[in-house]
Amino acid sequence: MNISDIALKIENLRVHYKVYRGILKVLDGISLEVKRGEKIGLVGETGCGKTTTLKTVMNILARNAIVTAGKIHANGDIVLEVKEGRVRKKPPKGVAMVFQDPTAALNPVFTIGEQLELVIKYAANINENTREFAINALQSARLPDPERLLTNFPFQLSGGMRQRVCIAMALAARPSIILADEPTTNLDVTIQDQVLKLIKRLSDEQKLALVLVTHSLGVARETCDRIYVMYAGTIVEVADSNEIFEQPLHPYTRGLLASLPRLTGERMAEGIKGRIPDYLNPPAGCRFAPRCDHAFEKCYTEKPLFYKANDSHLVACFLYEEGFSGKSGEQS
Amino acid sequence: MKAVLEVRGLKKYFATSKKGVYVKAVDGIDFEVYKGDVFALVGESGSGKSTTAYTVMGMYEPTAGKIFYRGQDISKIHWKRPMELKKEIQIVFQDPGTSLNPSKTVAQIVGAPIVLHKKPRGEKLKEAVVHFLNMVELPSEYLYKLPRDIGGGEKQLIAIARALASGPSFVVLDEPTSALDVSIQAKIIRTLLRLKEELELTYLFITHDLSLVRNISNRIAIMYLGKIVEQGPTVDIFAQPAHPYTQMLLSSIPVVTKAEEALKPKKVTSTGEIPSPVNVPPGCSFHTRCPFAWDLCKQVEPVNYQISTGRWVKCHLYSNKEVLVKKETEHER
Repeated sequence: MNISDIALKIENLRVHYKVYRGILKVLDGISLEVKRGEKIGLVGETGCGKTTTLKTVMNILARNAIVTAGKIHANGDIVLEVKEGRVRKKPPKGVAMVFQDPTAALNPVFTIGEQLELVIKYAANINENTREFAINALQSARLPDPERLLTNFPFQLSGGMRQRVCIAMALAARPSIILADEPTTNLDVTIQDQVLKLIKRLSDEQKLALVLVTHSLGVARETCDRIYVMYAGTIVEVADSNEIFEQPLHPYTRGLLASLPRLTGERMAEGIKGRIPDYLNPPAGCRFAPRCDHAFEKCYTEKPLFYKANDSHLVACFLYEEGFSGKSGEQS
Repeated sequence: MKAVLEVRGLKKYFATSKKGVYVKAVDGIDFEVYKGDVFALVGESGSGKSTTAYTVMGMYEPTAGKIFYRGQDISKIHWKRPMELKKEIQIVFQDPGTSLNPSKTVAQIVGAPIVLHKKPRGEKLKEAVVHFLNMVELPSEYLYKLPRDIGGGEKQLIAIARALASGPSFVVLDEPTSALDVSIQAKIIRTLLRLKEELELTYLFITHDLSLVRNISNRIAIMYLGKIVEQGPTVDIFAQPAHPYTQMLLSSIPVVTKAEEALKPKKVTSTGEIPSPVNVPPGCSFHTRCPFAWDLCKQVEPVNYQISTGRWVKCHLYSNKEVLVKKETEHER
């Protein structure tokens, strides 16, 4: 594949956090790849490193974070590289981020118009007619009465409208990649549905590459083309979004899917026993091994590689070391 | 059958800084919860579901209307309620991170209601606490831990143990799993359902998660802007959602299988946002977002129409039989 088809590429990213108790080894070799115009979902539970991954790309990691390995390309530029123990970082171009909490993402003492025009001036380098660009940006996010909205303060808007303003603001910078960090977690289901449709429509229209971070498998399925499932700082499974729900392979993905309450009213499974490991002393082998029903000796000592089920379906689990035929029967 | 909890015309208004302007959090709702029920109160944020729960608990005094517990009038604030009654009705809050006192040990937290209601001392108290911890499948090692030393799921189990410690027969669950991850949620829900069978409890379950409700409740009331717009048996509502708002809610749920996709209503898509409960739209409060709304909806508030046994809908679409028949055939198609 030609390198220019790839919008964002993360290779073997390791990020640690230095805290009072020691070093938290959070990201343990994350690799992912987003093509131009592709929508991918990064799914995982609280504390699995989804947000850390996005923050590394945006170069907005907390001060106590240490990048120990990895390389990130965005739009053909090298954004981050670790060479001989030294980290080279630069802010990415053409990448915008939508944050989880729109109330915290907007400045409460400036009007929407002022904030939006700043983005247009400094991120998109447009110095004339910024007001018209701002109105256009708000219109594209289907916000009613954009002229009046420009003079409003964030507190005058509802949660769903604030998040739409944040999306408009992210898109006003004319990015080619959009990183959305749980954009709908704080919203009600009916508003979530509208915001997701908006994100989907805008990224289709403008051929944006989208990385949608979410803890909800349903949200990822309805928005994304491909899904990366994360567990405790590692990627455990990658597949097309239809396939991962019909044929989940990794024990974690299966456990997660079985724990979801279904509209059809099937019985929910017991959930997954135990909890996410302590990052101070993460398991030496597969990080899921202590919670896994299928774990055997090797799982505790060696890290699993990715095994290929088909061209687009990869799974990091020793169960599939000897092929996929025998084991896939287990899931029923 | 006699209802365990009966709510009649309950209203709870909150005053605002402007005189004569009220937030109509709960605006005239009726429902009954029978013994052994898991009665789910579903709605978006701002629909008044938590206010209803807190009014039932006596944390708020109702503005108007009556609440009966086994025939006894309990529509008053908690300090006016008798002790035996408080023992009977307990609550589990949404976020165990804030509902447990951070400076008290698990033994003190779970022990507090036992001391208050049953008054055992010393070893007996400790035994009782261990008994309730075992009930939620936590080992006795947890006795001297502080909330900060335990994970979110276990904290919620402790909040459940505390609610059970006074020996209630009616438990209000206010979004008990919405702050937790799905893999943990499943365990909490399993525990709650097991305890319901073992202790013959009745639950009032407050939530916004319809897929969860489908799995655990037997009756549902859907709330919108302080009013119940639809109520009935869970199976019926999911098979044939009647109110346009119920259809909108169902169609917005992100699902993971094709079988679930097929259950979602197709004709109603989500538009607009829930208006502020200070300025409730006149007529049917949902008319601003309703795809079927006509002139009547903007002027006259619909009453409750019964469409089948135990099933009520607050919508003008069901005001005469003809419309109903038409709607039903549409659903069949």
